[in-house]
Amino acid sequence: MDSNPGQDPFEPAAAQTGWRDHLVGLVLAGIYLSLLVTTSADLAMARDEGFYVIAGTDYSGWFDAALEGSDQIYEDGFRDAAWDYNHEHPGLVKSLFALSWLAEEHHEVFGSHTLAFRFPGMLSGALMLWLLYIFGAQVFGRKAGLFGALLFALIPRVFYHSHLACFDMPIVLAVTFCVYTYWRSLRSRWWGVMAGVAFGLALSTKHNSWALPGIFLIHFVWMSIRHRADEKRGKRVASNVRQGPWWMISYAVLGPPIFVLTWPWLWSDQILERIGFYIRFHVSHVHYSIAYFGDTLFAPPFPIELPFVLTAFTVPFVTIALALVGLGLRFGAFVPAKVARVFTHRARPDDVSTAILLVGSMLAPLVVIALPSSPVFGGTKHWFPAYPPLCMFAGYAFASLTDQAMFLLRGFDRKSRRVLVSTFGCLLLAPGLLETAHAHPFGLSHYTPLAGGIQGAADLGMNRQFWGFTSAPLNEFFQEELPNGGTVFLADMVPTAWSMLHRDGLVPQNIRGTMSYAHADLIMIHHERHFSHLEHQAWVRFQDTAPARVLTYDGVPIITVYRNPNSRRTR
Amino acid sequence: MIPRATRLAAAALAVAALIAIGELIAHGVQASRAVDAEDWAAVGAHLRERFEPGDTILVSPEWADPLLRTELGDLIPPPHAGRSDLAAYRRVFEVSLRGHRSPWVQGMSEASSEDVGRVRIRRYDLGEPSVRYDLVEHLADAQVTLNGNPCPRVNRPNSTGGAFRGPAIPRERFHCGPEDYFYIGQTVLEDLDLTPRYCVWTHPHRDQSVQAVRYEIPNSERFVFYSGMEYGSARELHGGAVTVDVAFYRGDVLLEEGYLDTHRDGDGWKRVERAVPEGADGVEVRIFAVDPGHRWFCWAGSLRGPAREHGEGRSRGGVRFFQVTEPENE
Repeated sequence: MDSNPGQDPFEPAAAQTGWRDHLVGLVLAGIYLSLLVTTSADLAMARDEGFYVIAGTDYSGWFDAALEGSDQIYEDGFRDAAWDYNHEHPGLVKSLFALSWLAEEHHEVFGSHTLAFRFPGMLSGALMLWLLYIFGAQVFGRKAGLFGALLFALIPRVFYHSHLACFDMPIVLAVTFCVYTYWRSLRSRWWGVMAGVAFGLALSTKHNSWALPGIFLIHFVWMSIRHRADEKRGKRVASNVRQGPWWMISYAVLGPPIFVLTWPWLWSDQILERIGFYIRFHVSHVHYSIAYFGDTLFAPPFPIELPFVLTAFTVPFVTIALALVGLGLRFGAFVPAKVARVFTHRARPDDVSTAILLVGSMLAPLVVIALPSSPVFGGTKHWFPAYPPLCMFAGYAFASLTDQAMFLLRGFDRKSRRVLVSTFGCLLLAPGLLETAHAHPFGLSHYTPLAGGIQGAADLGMNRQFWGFTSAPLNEFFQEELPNGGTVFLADMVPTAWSMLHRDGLVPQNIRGTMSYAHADLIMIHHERHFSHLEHQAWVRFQDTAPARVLTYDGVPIITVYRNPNSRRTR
Repeated sequence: MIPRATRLAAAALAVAALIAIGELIAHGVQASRAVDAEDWAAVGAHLRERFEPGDTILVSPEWADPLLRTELGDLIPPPHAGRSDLAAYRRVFEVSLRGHRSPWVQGMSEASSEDVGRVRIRRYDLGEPSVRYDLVEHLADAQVTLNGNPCPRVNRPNSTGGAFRGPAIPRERFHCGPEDYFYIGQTVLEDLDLTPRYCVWTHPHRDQSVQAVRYEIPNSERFVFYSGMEYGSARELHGGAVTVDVAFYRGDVLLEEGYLDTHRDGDGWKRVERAVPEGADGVEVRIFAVDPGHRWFCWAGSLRGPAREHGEGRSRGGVRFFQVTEPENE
């Protein structure tokens, strides 16, 4: 890290990681993966998962043919039939869903169709902890790496999204891996090659990756200017620091081919048109409705502060506070040396300006969403790539402060000091652990105490959920209400998500999901403000406002179910 | 001597620990304040014992409404749940969670206040209702015409409903046709604030055709009219205006007629009021639009006696009074 870290009392030693560290990362990932797998059935499939299940199933036919060695896979018609659905997103992650599901189909690896589709997403969440530990350890030391990884794991919405067969955790992993490989490439040509591979995989995961070269270019220019200034002042720049933009060449050479290779939909003579469609789709994306302080936002300009406020309302406050301390401790790395000397002697920038890179990686996802013209999709997941660097700074603060405070424990032996520091660490992790456990299975309904919890957030008129995934706790109720079968109006849930309940045996086949309001025996309504008309329709149709059941989270309605009084099937 | 850096670090760690402990306590306290099913059942029993005809019940914060209706839905039918104001009620019970006060009872003094579990129930006595005749409630007694031709009353189910399909089409309605949505009927519309409003659906007809709803009314002093556009059809502020005229009769004799209001996107649930001519025993509401496309329009009206101090509703931007018919509408 710093050119002379020994002089900085707040500077934990960066670690040279080895196999033992990877073992720690593996254990972290394994534990998290186990938790995700065992809690998956508590969550009904989310809306977008439904689309990716269809895509994965379509792709699986192509993979089956490929595994059988069939030449059909190169035929335009066959290929397009398999890869055409949901071509607004690249193929890599959905390919993993398809392969995972094929493992279930052919070998019953998972024992659940939903779990099979979700497994690659869960693995991304788990690998993220491994990567975060290693990255954090290399930048700020092992204690910082471990603590940062745990803080990340214990963000309630991260835990929720880590369950899903979606792109959100895979892109966090891909973006963070890009940051890591870029950072490593500044000192190693071999990592320059890896950087290109990582970028290709990120491009193949989700369009968030488009911003990465810009972020790294800004950092690279900043770093190069600083090096020149240092050299002018006669300072020596470490010999292993690569001044050439090798990563950029690697990005250009490896990124696009990997993107195309992992997406057979592009293996067509219409490749340019198709890439053009893909870009246009995201550049002119529709805006979703999202409740925010009592308003339902649906069109730009959106409030600039939105991602910052929602981060404060959904990430445990102690994590944010520690991250701010970590940033404060690295203050000297963000400002010119002259300014830094006025305020502090600490935390000079290292040879590759790591703190600047991490701050840029943290702020970029937030700033992109904060732009008034950016589509507001509502989910905090859209700026999740900001959270790994945020947690790295939080871990750094913990490590740095506890190292410093050791002086106070000089009367204790080494073991006792470790126990005390670990206990203190547990105290700082406790809010995240408690909130994450309490939020399940209502992850998107969770708000931290800063917002007043879900009750406070409901008072403030904040979004209570999206994607219609919250119905799992009602599975038993549906069976009690419809003992001989019947139909349930799905509201925000997609039919594929309901069919996964059938496939996994969580709801009997004779209880069908329907999008037809008129013929439903039970009307399910997810509480999102812009769906309120569904509830009012029930009042008029049934001339009754009394729900049959209200599913709550901390006393706040999440789903309301109405019973069709004209139905002969309901209990 | 403890080094300065150590002192600073210890202080920062102490603050972090306090934050963590504070966050843990706040989380516990907030979660424990949730009103559970037992409390809601007690609230139901308490209010059921005290509820009388002419009363209504509301809850604050409003997000708790489904929980209240689970216990007392039969006492909160659509006209109550979709009220425009409180002028039709003698007494209001406010079910308050965590100290919340409903904007519906702002400025009123409570007649009683009791705690039931974690819930506080306040009663407000408003006095004799000022509403003498509710046009939504008495729609079945009205005569409905399209350009003077009667729209037949039908009683048949419809197959509509579902996300973003607008208010439900009621089983009983006046069908002006030819499309299903050209009907006059009681429904619940979500206004621009997504608040439910029990009202008379009147999608303006083509070619500035006039849909008219005529009632026989008791002796009254004031005509209060609310109107709104369905949230989804109005929120982008692109739609055309809907014009409302009103006419008062004594028997078949026209006493007064004229322009009442123009509803534009962005107006929300809008209130207008005008004086009723002396001796009027009939009122006709006439609705039309130059550009009727996607105008999911709904209205509620009532004939009232003298205004009470509270619960009469407020017009946006002050009370609007009757204006003479605008020339372009003639």
